[in-house]
Amino acid sequence: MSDAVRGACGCPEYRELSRRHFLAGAGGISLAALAPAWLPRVALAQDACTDRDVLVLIFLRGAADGLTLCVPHGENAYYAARPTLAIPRPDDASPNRATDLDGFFGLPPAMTPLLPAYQSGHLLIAHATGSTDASRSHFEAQRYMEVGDPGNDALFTGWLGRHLLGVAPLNPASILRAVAINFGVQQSLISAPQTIPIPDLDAFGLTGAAGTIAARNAAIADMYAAVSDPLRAVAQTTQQTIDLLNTIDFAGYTPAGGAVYPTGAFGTALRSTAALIKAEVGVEAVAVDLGGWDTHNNQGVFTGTMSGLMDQLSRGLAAMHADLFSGNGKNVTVVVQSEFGRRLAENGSFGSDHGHGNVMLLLGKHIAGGRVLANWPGLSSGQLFEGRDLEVTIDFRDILAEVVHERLANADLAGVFPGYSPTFPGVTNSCFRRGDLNCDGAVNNFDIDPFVLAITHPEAHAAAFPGCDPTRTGDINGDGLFNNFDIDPFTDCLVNRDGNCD
Amino acid sequence: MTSQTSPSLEPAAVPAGPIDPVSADAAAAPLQPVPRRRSRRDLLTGVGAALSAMWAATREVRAGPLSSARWLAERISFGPTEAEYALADSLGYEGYLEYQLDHTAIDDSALQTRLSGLTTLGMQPFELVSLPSGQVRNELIEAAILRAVYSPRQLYERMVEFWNDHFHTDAGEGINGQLRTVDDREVIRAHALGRFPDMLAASAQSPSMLYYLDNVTSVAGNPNENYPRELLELHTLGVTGGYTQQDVVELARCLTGWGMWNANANPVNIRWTFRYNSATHDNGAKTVLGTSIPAGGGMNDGLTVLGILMNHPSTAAFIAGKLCRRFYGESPPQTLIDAVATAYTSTGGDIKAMLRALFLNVDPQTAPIKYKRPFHLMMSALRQSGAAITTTGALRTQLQLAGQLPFRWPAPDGFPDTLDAWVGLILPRWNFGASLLNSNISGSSVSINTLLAGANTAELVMSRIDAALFGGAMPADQRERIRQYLLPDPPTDARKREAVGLAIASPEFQWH
Repeated sequence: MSDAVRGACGCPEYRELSRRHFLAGAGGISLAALAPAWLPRVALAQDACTDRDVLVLIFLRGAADGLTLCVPHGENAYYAARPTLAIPRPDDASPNRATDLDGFFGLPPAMTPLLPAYQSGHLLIAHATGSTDASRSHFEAQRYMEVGDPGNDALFTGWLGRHLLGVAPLNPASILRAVAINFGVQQSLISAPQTIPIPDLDAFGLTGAAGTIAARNAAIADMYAAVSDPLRAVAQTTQQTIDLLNTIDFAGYTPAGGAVYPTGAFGTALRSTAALIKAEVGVEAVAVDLGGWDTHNNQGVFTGTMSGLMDQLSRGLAAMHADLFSGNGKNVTVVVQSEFGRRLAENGSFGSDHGHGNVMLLLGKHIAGGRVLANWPGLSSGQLFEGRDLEVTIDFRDILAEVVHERLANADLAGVFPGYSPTFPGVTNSCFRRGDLNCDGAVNNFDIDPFVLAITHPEAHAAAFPGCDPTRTGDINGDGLFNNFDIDPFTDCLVNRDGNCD
Repeated sequence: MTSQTSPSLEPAAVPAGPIDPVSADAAAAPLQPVPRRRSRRDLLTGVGAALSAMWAATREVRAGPLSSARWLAERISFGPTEAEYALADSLGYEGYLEYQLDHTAIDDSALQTRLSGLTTLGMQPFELVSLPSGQVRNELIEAAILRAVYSPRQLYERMVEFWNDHFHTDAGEGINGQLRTVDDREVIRAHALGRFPDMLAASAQSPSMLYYLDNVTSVAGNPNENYPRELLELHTLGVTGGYTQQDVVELARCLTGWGMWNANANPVNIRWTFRYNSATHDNGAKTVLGTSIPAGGGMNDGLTVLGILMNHPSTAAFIAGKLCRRFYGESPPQTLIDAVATAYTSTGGDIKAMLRALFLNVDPQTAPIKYKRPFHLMMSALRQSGAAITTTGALRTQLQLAGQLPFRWPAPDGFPDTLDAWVGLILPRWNFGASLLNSNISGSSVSINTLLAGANTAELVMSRIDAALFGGAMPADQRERIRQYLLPDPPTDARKREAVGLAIASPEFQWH
């Protein structure tokens, strides 16, 4: 496994302590007694694989052209259908040529700032994804994606809203669970508790005479406490959020990892999002929109409209990658989606009309990235959706459901995506680690008790650590079995290999 | 584009007048809405549906104890002044409705005087395009603010707002910063209380629309689907109105060549006006919504389809539903929508007839209250506090902070009209009241002595606030909370101002 699933606790004192204790009793099954009950639980460092991620959801409104975002340069049909819009092949002499990713797909010049994230294995590009619904209406398709149930015209709570409503807060004391960096809450977040839109995180406070702000604030609180939701809840969250955001210095925020966010509303939104996440105030989801992708006319894939948008997107994501994932990093997954792709053939206006299949981007330390994930349907005439568009071969819900289940720790997928049985396409890395018998993401002496329990009383282990499969985590010698022959190798990796049982 | 030197071969611009109903043949064609392409699943099961129901229940807020006539004055205006309440009281429900419907009979000369300095409002496209787009756009926004605040033709201005959303084009895009002024004048304001078919026909030949939705570049052999799709989805049939992707493609072919004269056209005054260019029109045979359009139709192809659309039952239902959601509530009863749709069909799309059908079929005492959109909230605060406006730059900033700078929505569907879309961002609303009364909005001022008629006790101040901002229907508990804020007697001017600001920030002032 890569460093994406490296152990959580790097504290040397603790390892020292545990090693000595372990050595004292090594050699017998009684080693279980060696982890004293009084030993305080060491707080997990950030970025444990099994910890819930904060989700940053970026929606590219207007139907971004996925055939430009990630170029299928191995397709002759792509070049035939797009005489002016196609991105030249990687072996072309043009400075506008694509940068190859895997021999078939490539990135256009304006997306190459994402190469470091891709090469580090943190960025996954999923292609030919989208909604199974055929709608080419922006508003209907966005709505269907955001409620998470294409074709359902009655549902108006959002999939992310239902997720947040269905799980306990990441931080029980949190007063702000999700933020829409927008003038209104996106449909995906509708019904999310303690969630408000904040167009500018750095400018959120009461105006008027400074001397009476407290008194006016109290009067407003009284008035809104007397009415029903949603206004009461919105007012309460708003007032508490004013105080909360006052404690964070957004303007003076210094990104880590040498990250430079692009100027402009989108880059500023991502920069503020990073500051908010690092402030660890309990925010679990941030929704950001980037609009303007409806390129029916003068699409501008090299310079112009789409190039400018891709530049904002790629440099913004690259900055976020450098900022949040440098060093130990933060538990964050970023998802980028758009309502549908654009038609394969360009139109007569040097643009492209509404299509179907598209790309999604996923960024995170526990995303199985560094590749383009696709069940590529092909672009030849017989392979196109309705004879004109890229087909959808991976339902967007399969991807989102895996993120919800694996990265947001919510197993109630029926509640989040009603009426749908997702198939996980493998966009996340497994959090199982050999030796991690309690499935806390780390291999250390807290795994000793569970190891013993799993060998002696498997049913008790299953009850104590649901979903934590000892036949995988306990098979230290890799013979496909979990049994007494794994004891010595387990001891060895704890004592001599800093918990690396792989 | 073909040569610009021979405009005489084509009509330079086809008059945007009424389009006759289509021929009997076309009208008799099988235009029933086709079944929705997917079957609706059982929506009464599942977690999501249960949540939806729970969420919906939070909207079930009923109107306060206003009289029916005062409810109407609230509902069809940007906030009634005390004089407007009194007028509604004296005319009664139906009388006040008819008064507002007959908008040209209402004297608005004082408003016209205020607007007289906004010289771009009356300019032609070729004049506007020579000016900076920011100047033209800001004058248009200023006019929208002044009209909302000061026009006595309040229902007309609410309808202008409604249609500007319906036929929205973003004034932030290129030369639409200039062309939008022409669209507002000649499409929206010209027909806001007229006939929908006339407005639709004018919109289809509006350079603002054809530019914004890219039809100006749509040519035979490779048509652009942007405008044709939104014409079906947003302007006429609605997304469930019974059309297919093939209809979009065929309609796009019908509309090829519908564009505008460019910067080199002569004479100068036709530049940036509507142009039908036969050289770029696809003259082949088409089939749209089941109607065959024979080859060689030229510009009549588009006119024929517009005729089909304006006579289509889905259009009647779509416009009726949208009107009911704007003026009644988010979930209007189907019977109400049907009544308004019937008025459309029986009158050929007469907008006044639709509004009559709407308001004469509602019970004001049980109608749900509606959340004011940010523009509405701010305009009502300005109107009901008697604010004097000299400049509007700072008001534009306030509208921008709240997310509703007029003509600047980034998508062709217009500003949303739902509680969900607006309810979260309440802080700019609170701040607007505080800033306005604290004289922090440059160019807008409130005379506290005039507004409060010299009231010098907390009780008397609250009586004035109740009368001016709530039509006398302010809930007693909220009134008491702000009264407490004013104490001790006599309240200072600063406290009085803050009390009015708090009233504007109060929960009850967010609805109408």
